[in-house]
Amino acid sequence: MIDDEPSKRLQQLLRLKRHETPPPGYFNEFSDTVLDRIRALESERAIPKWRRWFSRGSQSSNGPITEPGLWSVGGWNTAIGLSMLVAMVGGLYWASRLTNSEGMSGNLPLQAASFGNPSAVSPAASAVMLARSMPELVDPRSVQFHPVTVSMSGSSPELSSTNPLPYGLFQLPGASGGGSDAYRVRFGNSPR
Amino acid sequence: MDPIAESTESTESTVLARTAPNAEDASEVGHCVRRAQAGDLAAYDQLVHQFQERIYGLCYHMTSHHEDANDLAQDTFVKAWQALKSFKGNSSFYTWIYRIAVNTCLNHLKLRRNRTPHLSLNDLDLQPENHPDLVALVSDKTPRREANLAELQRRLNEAILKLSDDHRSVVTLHDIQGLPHDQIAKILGVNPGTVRSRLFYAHQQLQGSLADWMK
Repeated sequence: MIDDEPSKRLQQLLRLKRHETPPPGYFNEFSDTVLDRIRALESERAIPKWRRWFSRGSQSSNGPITEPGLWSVGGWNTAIGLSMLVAMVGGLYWASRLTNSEGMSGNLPLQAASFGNPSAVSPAASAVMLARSMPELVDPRSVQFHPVTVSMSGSSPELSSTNPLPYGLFQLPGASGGGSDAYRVRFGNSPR
Repeated sequence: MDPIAESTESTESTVLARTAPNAEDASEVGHCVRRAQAGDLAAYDQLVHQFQERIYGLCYHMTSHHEDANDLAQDTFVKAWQALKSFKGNSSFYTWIYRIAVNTCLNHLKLRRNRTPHLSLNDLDLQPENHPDLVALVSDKTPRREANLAELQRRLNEAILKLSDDHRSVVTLHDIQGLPHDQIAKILGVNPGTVRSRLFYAHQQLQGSLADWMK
């Protein structure tokens, strides 16, 4: 099959490639390089896995570990990322615990929850807490939000609203009921 | 006598003597393998020394690139060390490490398929230019007497790089490295008939690519 003249000629040409050799002295160092790589692999294998994982950032693809590596660039990046993750998870956990404890308290004093420091609590949270603190007055599922204005008059805060508020939510001194155009509530013992 | 035939026969005997281990070598290799399997790096060093030229040659002829061949030959020996404990001796160590080298080269070629082939012949030792048989080859018998050896080498490598990976493997192992069909079949894990078939088609393609040099 391959004994014809062109095939013989071709095989003779191909055999010429046997003369292509690497530079002189190349094989003198070849086995040393191979053994160095093997030793590096063996020493790397002796390092615990977790430490190898941290040291990946400072390691070349084929070479040995160049430094202990735990605090290498890759290790720092990983440590920072892990810290941020732990902080985030911890924050979420504590936030959920705080929310639960507030929910469990149920009848928080209105003044402490909202009116004690009106500027510190958002209107929506105030309304929810208000509803939770007075379940007999308001159904929490039907909470409605009304814009109110808090102003300082003398040393006492004053809460007022231009919109009609539901009857019973605020029992204003001297007011006969809901539906009026303006409401005003004074806090503290300041005279009206 | 045809200078081409003369030159290739003289080199063939040398290369075959290098590639085919005799019984004494085989027993020595077996001894080194057992010691290396027990973790003896010095024994493995002997194995590397014994096979480095052949493995490098295989990698070089598969890639036509000196640096790639260097990396692949090193990878082959490192992989062989890592897998040495799994070597049961069902085949010869020679066949086993050749199989690792071929697979390493084929994987490399698959990964680098889109890379422009780079011939690094200038990086290699060009001693063959001074080889009297080769000088005779390029000056007496070729249709292009003025052509030089570098041109022939370039054309040869280009033609080989055009072959598929499977065809290049059999051409490298048989025509360049001088391995017999049955040994190539063991290395590649195919039938000897498949080896012959691949060689036939590879030769046809090469004859087309090297038509100028075939006359």
